[in-house]
Amino acid sequence: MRIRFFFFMKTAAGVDEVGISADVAPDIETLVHVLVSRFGLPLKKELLTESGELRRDINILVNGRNIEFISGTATGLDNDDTVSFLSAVAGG
Amino acid sequence: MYGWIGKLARINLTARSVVVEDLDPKMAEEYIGARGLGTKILCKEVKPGTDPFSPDNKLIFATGPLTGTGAISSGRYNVITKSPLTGYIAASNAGGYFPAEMKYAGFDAYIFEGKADEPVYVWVNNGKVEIRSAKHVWGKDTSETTDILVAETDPDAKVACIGPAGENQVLFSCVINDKGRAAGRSGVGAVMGSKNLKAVVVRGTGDVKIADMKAFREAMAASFKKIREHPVTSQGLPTYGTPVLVNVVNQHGAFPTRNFQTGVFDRAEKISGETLAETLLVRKRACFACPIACGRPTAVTAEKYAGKGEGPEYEVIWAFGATCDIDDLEAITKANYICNELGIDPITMGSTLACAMELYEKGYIPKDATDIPLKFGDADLLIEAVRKTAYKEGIGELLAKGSYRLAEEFGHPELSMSTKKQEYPAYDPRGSKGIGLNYATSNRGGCHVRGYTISPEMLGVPEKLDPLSKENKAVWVKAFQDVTALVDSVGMCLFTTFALGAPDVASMLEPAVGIPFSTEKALLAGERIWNLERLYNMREGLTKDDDSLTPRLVEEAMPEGPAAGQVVELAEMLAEYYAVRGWSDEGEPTPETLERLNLGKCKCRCVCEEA
Repeated sequence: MRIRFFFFMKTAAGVDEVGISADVAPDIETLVHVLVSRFGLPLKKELLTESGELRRDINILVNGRNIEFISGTATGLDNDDTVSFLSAVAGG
Repeated sequence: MYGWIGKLARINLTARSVVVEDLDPKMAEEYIGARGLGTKILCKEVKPGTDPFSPDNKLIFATGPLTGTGAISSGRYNVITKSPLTGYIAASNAGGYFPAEMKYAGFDAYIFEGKADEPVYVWVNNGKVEIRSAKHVWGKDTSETTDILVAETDPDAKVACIGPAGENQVLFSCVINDKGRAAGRSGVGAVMGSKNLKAVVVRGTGDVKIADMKAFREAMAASFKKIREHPVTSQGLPTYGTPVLVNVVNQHGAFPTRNFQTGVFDRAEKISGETLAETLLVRKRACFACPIACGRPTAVTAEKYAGKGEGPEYEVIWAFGATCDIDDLEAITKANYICNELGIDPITMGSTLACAMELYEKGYIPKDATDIPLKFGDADLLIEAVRKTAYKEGIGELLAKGSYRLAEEFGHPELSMSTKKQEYPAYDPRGSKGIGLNYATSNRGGCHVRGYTISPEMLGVPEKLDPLSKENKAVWVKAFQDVTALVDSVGMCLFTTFALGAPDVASMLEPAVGIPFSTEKALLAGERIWNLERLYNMREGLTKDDDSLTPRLVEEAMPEGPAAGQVVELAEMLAEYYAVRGWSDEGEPTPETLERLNLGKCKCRCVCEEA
């Protein structure tokens, strides 16, 4: 599947996107841990609180839908999915 | 008075007279300032049915009690008048440094009446008001006008002026202050032009008295801490500015493309905030007392589009980009510079152009009816179209009327993406239902900064709402509309509300003005202002039928992307909205609601008789 990083996530990961198999990361919770393992502390700070919870102020979209309105961190993933990690930003 | 200066300048351009009046303390407490105060004055003083371009229409520049105080992002003012674009209320606000200087010069608000017999500008210097000839700057762009008027008044003077578009009464021309900050929407610049008023120049060394400085400083410090700790106001906006939204909204499938024919722009990366930051951004710029600094001065070095100036903001990138099917960021940026210089609202300009492109593509605008081919994707067209519009040349004569009148002229008003004849901004409500309800009910027509539900629906601030659900959106829209009316009226920037809420605003307002302002009282004032705007619009002929969306959004399913298959279920949300607002099924505030808001004497259609 296609993993896309935006804004501070992109800076922290050092790449704007990466491919990861759904076999390795079958759901969001697993994917987050895979990404933290691969990209280290900078991305960990963008994704997780100090206590290891997923930050509430970021947004994770699966095919454009916020995981909040699918199944949260239990949202299942397939190889043809696009997962977007968005930092807390705003405009208007 | 504290917070407020306590003085209004009434400037009659016909008689060339100036009267200084005291600000009515009761009116100030109920309508606060800026947007609220200006609306109240307009309702009281301009008769129903007045032609927006008549000398009887009034143009009101108004600040809020926090403007210029040093409160967080307190550099805002509003321009209030009857809109020539919509025929309803126009209240456009801007930041920069001009608004604070308006107060330091001695007045909370400037009421412009009548019409000068030749171009003039108004020079306000520490309480002294002069009406001077502007024949030497008539026809000049906003930057040159600013430079000339500063040179002939005071090097520290601040200027708000119109460009050639306002002079030519283009229906969506704006007022530009501080070379690039715009009171942008609803054609307030055209009304200024109709009065032969080229500019307002202010300079003052006065100050704004604070009732309880210790409490005010404590409230400011608490709010400042929240701004610094919130990731949006401390990192997101300062780092990327508003263009950051290109990728966010496109990822949600709600980035209007080709005149809202779809919500996915496949070349969004080429015009994104990140691309802008990496290529054209020069530095960041802040308005008065603003720690956020979202301003984005840029420069284009490529010869074809060379220039420098402010922006583009997110909305402009969309208006000249995706909705026109254009992915050339340099062309978009140049078109934005020209809008600033000629004094044009780029949202309506771009959306009108996109509408023209669809009309042209479908053959509704015959090829021999336009002097330039109106093809989607033609970046070179942007600059020519903006210039033609400002000067009403060729097809520009029709473009200058906005998309609704243009589409109506060619028999297809349904292709105008507008409500109340004002164009929607950069969010397709099929992918964000709350913003659709807000567009439909916005008192100034299609607009995002009346109730910015994009914040919870796409950004997750203050909490995450499902953008594709209609549930409970009426409650959120009302809450956002009322808070926005409050923030606009105190003189703060709406962007503070990503981190601050009504309690924070009230906590600064109360010690500033020295009058008890609980959160409830402050929010009630916001609701009162919203309802007064509604009453004004009803008086000018608005009915329930005007609370609508263009057919495409309620009848045509989104063809692709995350919002595929969606339409806006407006009727259901609207009924709930009327109930939440305390309005009848016909969208009119009930007598009980009017009484609760102390608007009881207004009797809906006779606002002007209240006095």
